[in-house]
Amino acid sequence: MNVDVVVTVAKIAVVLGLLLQVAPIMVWVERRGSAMMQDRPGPNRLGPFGLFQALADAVKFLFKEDVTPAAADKPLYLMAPALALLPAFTTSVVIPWGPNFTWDGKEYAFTVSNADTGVLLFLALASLGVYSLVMAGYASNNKFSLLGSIRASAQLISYELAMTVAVLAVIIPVGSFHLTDVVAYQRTNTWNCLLQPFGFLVFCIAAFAETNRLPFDLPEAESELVAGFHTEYSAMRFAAFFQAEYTSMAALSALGCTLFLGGWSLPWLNYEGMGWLGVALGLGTLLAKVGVCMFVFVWVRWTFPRFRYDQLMRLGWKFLLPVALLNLIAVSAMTLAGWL
Amino acid sequence: MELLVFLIFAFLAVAAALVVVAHKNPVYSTMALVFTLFSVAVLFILLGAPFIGVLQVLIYTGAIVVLFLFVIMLLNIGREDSQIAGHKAQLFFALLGAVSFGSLVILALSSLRPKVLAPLTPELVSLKALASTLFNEFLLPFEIIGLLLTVAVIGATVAARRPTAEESAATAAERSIETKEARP
Amino acid sequence: MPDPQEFLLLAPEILLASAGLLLLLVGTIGRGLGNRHSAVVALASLFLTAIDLYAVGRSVPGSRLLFHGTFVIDGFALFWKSLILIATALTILLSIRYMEEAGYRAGEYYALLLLASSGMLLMASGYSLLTIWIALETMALASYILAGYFKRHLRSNEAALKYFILGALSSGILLYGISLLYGAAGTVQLGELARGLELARAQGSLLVPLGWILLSAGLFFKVAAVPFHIWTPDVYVGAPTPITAYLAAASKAASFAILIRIFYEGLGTLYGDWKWILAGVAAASMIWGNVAALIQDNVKRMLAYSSIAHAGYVLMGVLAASEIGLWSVLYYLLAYTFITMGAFAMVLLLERREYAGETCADYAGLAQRSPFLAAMMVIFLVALTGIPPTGGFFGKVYLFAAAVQAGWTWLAAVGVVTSAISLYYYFRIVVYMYQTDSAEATPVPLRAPALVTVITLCAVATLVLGLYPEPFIQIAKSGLLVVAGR
Repeated sequence: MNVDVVVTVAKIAVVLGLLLQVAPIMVWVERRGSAMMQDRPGPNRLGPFGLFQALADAVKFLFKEDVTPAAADKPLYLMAPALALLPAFTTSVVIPWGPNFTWDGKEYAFTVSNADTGVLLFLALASLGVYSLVMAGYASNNKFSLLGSIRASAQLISYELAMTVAVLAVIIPVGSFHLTDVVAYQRTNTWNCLLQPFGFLVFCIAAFAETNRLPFDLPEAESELVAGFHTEYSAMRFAAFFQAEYTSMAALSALGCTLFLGGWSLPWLNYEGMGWLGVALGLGTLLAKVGVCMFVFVWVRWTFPRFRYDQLMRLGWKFLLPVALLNLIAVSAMTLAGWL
Repeated sequence: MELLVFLIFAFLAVAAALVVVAHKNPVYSTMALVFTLFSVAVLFILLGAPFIGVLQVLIYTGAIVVLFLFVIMLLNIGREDSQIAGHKAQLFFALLGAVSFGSLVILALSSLRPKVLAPLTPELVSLKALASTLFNEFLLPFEIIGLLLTVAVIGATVAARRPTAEESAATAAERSIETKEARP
Repeated sequence: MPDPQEFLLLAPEILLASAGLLLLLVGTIGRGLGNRHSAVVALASLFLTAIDLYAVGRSVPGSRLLFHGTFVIDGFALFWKSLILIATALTILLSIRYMEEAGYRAGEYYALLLLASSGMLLMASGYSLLTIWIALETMALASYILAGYFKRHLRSNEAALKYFILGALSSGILLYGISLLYGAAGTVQLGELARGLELARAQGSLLVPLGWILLSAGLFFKVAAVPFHIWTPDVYVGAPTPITAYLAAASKAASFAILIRIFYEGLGTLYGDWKWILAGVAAASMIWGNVAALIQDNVKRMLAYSSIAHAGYVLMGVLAASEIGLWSVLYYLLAYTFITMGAFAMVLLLERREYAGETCADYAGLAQRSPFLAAMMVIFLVALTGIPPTGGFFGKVYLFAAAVQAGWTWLAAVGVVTSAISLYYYFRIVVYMYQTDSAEATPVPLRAPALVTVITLCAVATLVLGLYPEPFIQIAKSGLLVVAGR
């Protein structure tokens, strides 16, 4: 059998295995974290620190009745949750999870897809995420859901633009869409969050909006829209939206860490000479960074109030986009001048 | 393998395109358009132009069609009652168009023989080559596209902007004249 | 990278586009510029562009290809560019009074006009199908918005929508044709295209005829030739009248510029193929335009059909593909610009709020109410018919002569017969003006100095072109092209 195929399958298995763990862990983190911030115990009965609560939740989702509203648009209604998972899981194929490794005398990059288009592929696949939201909201045949998906379509477009421009600003000095090259660039220079603080800021804000997290969770604003686009969903279909949200948070965090926070590398440490240990350490480093980011997501959610819709649009178009564009121009100029 | 992928996505592209045209519900049509554009992007990648393919997904599937959906849902355009059945002339011209376009395609396909374009090599479709072509040979068209897009944005803004205070006043004045003229 | 020096030769286009953007920018500061100030700024920028154009023309003797052969500066381009600048300036003069009375914000209006004109300048110089198409779209997008600028008026909305939908369709067809030609010849640069297409045609490639047929369909739409003229009457009637004049003069000139350049330099080697289609379209335009104009009661609509007919006359000259054919086309369009601008200025002057005053009956007794205006209108109508001593006469004579010389006698005969038909509807207005008594006896006040200036200027130009055509023929001869492969 072809070694390349085996390696690719192994890489897919590792990444998919990691991503599948995100949702249960994050549910626990979210609940315990919010409890901590609100000075209450939170779920603490099942297992140590209530860790098994996530398992109990999963069992509950599995056995709950799956309700489809009578007036729903069935094909779209049933397709939407599946479509939500697709971009969430496929985007991370371009992330380098560790240093290159050799197997059978051949060197492999620790990314599932080492395509030329690299980060663009990530952005392209991520941009498909909005369809599941829109579909779900439309198919539910519920006014709250429809409002939620209309909000989602406008919001995601607005912030995607700013995010793409911020990402391009990182790509320019590197001169390659390969994320492995972005990591290599940060290892020879320094982390991009220091080189491009404004780009980093824009990326972070846009990341919150792209994943529909507070303070930008207007598509599912519970105080106005019940639960927005997924009001009508229950059981595993609801869980699929949940899973998709946490997985895309993780994928976007991984992208953010790779672009701005040095990826799998740490300054002054060289994992590359260490063989498999280095690969494991690299993976661990990136996972630790992603973990920190995920905690920031939770932290922000329980700290800030939600934006009003017009404020959201104004922030996106009149602040983030101009800042991102100015950043892009400045970075291009500095790259031309040879400063970056 | 490649042939299989091609067949799947070519079929998907054509089938979804048919749904776009034929479906009575505009939301379904738009969703089908997503599938068409995505399948065409896959075909681009199969042809050895991954950059175009990814940009197709990023721009068309990920942005432009989302705006279509946004507008359709915002205006709450309902199911369109079948108009084609009502208009025989429309059906006739649709068929005429389909037949002539079909024969165009067949004609075009039957004469692909002269190979005037150099075959695509990885060097030719690499990002560097693309960028160098865009900024050397086609620099001027590329720059004019900037002007074109600016004009488009300005035009859209002009078409959509709210009337100014003076314009509202002018409207009110016209209305009052109209009512006066209407009286004998 | 292209030589940075080449951007200096692009200065007229850059200047005009920047002036348009500047107008917009100023519009965001406070209350922005008023109508008159915007118009003055626009006119000043047109003047500066003209000076710049002159300088560019002086510094490039003969012709020169720029930007890897996607842009050309030659006598042909300079001729059209000057014509476009003149037409735009006249449009702005027509607009001042009109915009004031209509009560719309003027800043964007003039800005869009300037941007559309910069697109036209680029069209005139485009030497690659890609440049030409993008420049054409720049012009078209701005024109759609300008046609629908009067948002409160339903007819303006209708005009914009019809223009936009049909225009977008035709642009798609045009682009499809371009893509097929690229597939056949492997290039979009006109000079190489002529050779590539000849080669591909010799190999029996069917992409070649498919490509140029679709391409020419798109071009015929832009010049409003039958059978792609359906948008013209509705758009001409619905659009704000200065914009109608702009579409009829500037937009048509720019579209003919690219049509001639593409047919002569890009498809020149296929002359034997396209001449029949062009002849058919020219004949159909002349016949249908003039016949349909017979039954029109609305003057703007009648002028729209007349502009379709004139597109047919011009196509006849293009078809001749000879030196005399080409310079007669240039001369004719030069004269036509002044005539049509003047005619629309008259419509504008007599027009009252909400499109009233556009029917032939509204011209009744104009000779009593204002002998001066009636006389001017007679000049324009005589010129449109092609009767001496006006520019329209020589234009038509040269066109017919060129057609006969090139062996298209039957086409010239069609032209002469249809010109005779056109006498009926043009002179219907003259009859109304001089023989019918006016319903209202009040004289028409000459209260818009800019308008009256335009009318007088156009009338004088029309007469001068008819009485002393020699220098203008020399100007037209400065813009000759050679048909590739002939």
